[in-house]
Amino acid sequence: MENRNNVDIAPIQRLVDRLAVRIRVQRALQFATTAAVFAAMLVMLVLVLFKTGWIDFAVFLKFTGVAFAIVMGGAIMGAARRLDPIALAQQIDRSHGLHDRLSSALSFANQQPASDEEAAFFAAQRENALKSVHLVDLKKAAPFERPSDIAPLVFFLCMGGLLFMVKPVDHRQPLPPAPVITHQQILDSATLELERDRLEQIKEVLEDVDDPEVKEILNEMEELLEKVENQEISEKEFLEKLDELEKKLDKTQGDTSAEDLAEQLKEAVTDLKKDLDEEEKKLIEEEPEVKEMLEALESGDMKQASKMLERLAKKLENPENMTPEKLEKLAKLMEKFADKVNPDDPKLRELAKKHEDTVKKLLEKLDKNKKLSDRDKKRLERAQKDLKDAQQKMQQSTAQKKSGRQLKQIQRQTEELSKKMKDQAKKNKDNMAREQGGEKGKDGKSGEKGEQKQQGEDGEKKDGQQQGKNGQQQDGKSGDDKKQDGKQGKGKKSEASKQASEAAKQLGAQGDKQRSNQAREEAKRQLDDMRESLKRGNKGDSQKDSKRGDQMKDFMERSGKKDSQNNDKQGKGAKQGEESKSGNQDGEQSNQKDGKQGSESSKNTSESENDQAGQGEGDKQLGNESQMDSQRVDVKADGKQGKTGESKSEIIKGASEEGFASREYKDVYSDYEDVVEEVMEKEKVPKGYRYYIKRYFQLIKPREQE
Amino acid sequence: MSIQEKLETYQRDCGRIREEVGKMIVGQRDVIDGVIVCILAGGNVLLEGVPGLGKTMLVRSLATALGLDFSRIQFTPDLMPTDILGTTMLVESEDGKRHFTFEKGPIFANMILADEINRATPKTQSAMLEAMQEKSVTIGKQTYQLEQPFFVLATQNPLEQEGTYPLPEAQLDRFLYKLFMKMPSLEEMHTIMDRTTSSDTPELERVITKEKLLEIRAFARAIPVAPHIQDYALRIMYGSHPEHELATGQTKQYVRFGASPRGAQTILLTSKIRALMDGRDNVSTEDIRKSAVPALRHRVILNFEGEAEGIQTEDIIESIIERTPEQKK
Repeated sequence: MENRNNVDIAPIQRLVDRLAVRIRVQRALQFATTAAVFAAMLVMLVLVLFKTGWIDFAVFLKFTGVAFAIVMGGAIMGAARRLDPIALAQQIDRSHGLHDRLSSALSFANQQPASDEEAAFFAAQRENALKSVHLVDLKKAAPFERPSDIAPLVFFLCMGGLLFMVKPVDHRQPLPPAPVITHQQILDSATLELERDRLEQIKEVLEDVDDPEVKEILNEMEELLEKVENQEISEKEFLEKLDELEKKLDKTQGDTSAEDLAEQLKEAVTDLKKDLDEEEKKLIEEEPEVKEMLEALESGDMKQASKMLERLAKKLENPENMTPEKLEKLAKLMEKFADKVNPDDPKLRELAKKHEDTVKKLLEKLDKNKKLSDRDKKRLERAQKDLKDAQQKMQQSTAQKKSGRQLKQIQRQTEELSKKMKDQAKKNKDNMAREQGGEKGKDGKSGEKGEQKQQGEDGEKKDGQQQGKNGQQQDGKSGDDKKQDGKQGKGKKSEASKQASEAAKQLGAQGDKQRSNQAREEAKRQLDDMRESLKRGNKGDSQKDSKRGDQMKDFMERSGKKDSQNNDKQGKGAKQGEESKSGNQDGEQSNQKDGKQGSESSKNTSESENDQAGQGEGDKQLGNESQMDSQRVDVKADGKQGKTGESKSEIIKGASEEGFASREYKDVYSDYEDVVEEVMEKEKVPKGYRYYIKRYFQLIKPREQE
Repeated sequence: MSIQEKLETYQRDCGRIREEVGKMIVGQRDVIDGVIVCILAGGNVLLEGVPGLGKTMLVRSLATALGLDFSRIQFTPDLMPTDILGTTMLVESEDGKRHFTFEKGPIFANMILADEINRATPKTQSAMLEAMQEKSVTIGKQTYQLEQPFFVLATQNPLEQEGTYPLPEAQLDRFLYKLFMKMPSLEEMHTIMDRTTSSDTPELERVITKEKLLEIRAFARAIPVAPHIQDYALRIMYGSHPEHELATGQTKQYVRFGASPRGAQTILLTSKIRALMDGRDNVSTEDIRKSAVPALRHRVILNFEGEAEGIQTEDIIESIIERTPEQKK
């Protein structure tokens, strides 16, 4: 403190300074203790975290350092707090009963006296105060006080020590297994089995088709069914997933040009078949590849047609497989087919024809009469204009429509194939003649060359510049090949074979597309079916479900016998099937018919079969049976107990164990299924009914054991 | 004479006054000290106590010990101001001429005992105001200075409040201290009985002259007060103001008006006298604390709640003292 009067108050000042030090130390201790409480809490927390493995040793050390810093900071803060010397002097005065002598002296030392009298008073007062200095004992003025927070500090230190010794559980120990969420069974096992079966069928269709997107969606559908089986998915999630898959399927929907193409080829084959003469018909019958190819095209199966064409290409490789005459006939057939293949839109074509007829009629009239009325003139002008428009539109439509372009390509390839076949036939004839006449190949070379050039020119003229170039290239190549062929003889592939092979490839690619589209459609329908299955299917009753599942499994196992076995036992199976059918339909009737087998057996049969086929859980949805009690008169016609032979149920069971899915049954099934599918497509069958129909057909579907 | 010597002398004189009064008044040490403090400070005292506790005796004893003129005025409702101050009378001289002469009233004395001052009408009470504050009396156009030292010791009887006129605040403020005379203890009563009922009546002596008294008063006023001590006194004074930040909870609840600055002056002045009486040349916080209660108790005005609950102003002032730290924060 500043001494303005230059009076000697040093002893008082020293006293105050010493007291200040003492008080600072005490305050530092007090603050440090308080800070240590917080630091101890922090260290305890960090210790627990360290021991339970939440933090590593380095972090623990860091936090311990922070705790130490907190204590030191507290101590420094306590020691650094401002102290008022007057207040300290007052503290001494109070503790020693000095009646503010020291504090007043300090205060007066800093004060300018207003008068001599006051100065005298200040001096007297200072003297008085100085006399008291030697009486002062600082221990009395600021006795040592135990820090107030020492008790909590000791408590926390003890707790910390205990924690240090205790080994708490490390949090990194293996966690308990996650709770398994089991949802309600949303589809019974029988339905699941059927859905899987259908998925397998779709997959089979896609087996040799490269469509990863659809395959992926099918896999996802399979996974979904697996989840349903494991009860890992709720009904809502299931439906959401179905929607998601449907959207995905819609997104990846391919172009439908393959279907259009198949349709147009089908039309072409139908037209061709109408125009066939006897010789051609005979040729088709003789050549199974051609026959099957046409049949495949007629049924819209381009993939199968492609296979057949490939087979034909192989056949054409070897000239010995086909006589030149036959080859020539085949070439003509192909040419005819190429003519039938018309890429134009049939409606536009019809329209153009109509206009063309009108123009033709009017022109004939003009020729005949040498003159036309004004009305006819206008009609002729309009018809000519309409004809031109229709032709333009036809060209545009063909160029724009993908299927049109593809059909045109097929048409061109067929024409090429036909030409190549003709060439091949001619060449074969020449070869045969040379072989017979002993001639050798120079003329052939030049002749072929000339032919090739001509072909190139034809290509240019017919198909425009680009196509002409292609034609040139192709022809050039084939010309070279033919040269080689001419040199090397039969060892190389023939041109016709190559062309056929190329056409087969083209058709095959379209066939793949077609199959892929079919699979997509199937997959989409399957999604609908799955949704419908969820709506209609049984859920909740696990016992019934397992029973039905077992029944279904048993049924599938029994129906899925090998073909060979089925073939061997075919006749017997069919017979037994009939018998069992009659038993199912009407027990009484069967009793009358099969009286020999006895009433017992017929009763058993009807009961057992009705249990499974007529009164099962799934058939409840079909409604209750009619109540006919009021009009019906029960007649009990007991049959005679037979002594030999098996009961009906035994016969049916035996037949099913041996398998009754014969080829014939397969065919029948296939026919019926096709018809049903067609009807369902054409008619607006409600989804619920559609579900039952499909389910029925799935259930009666012939199966083969893998 | 040095300050220290003067201090010692005056302390001794004060002690002698106390001893001399103590011959007549048994006990009542605080009241005697308070009255001496007020006389030395040049102020007036309001003494409250039931009759028979020796109020008149105290003033008479003091007047004797100090060698001062003494007047006793018994205040009654019919007492007129002229009865106190004096009046102008028509007097016939020896030569037969008649002239007006001012006949001084009992106020013209060094020490006045205004007994039961609250029984007089406000008009009469106000006649005392000028004399108490200005130490002068104005009659007509003539002002008469009162002889120094002038000291009024007014008494109030807390009983029989009917027909009394409570002193207005302005008049109360003119009293330095308000002191209560308490009932003596049994031991003190024995001594009082012995002294007053026997033939040996103690005789009082004059121990100090008027001049000395005035000298002591001047010396006491010169005693310096350290700023932090003065600050303490002011903080106590502000503590009695309900609207001030230093006000205590009790002050805020029960006080209507706090002490006036004259209250703080009184505390400091009387603290100086107390320091002198204690032989010190500095005022301490203890002096302030001792002076605060008698100096402020009649200056703090309670509100309705305080009056209704019978709160004593002493309690409020003591709570202020208790809650006011000696060191400024």
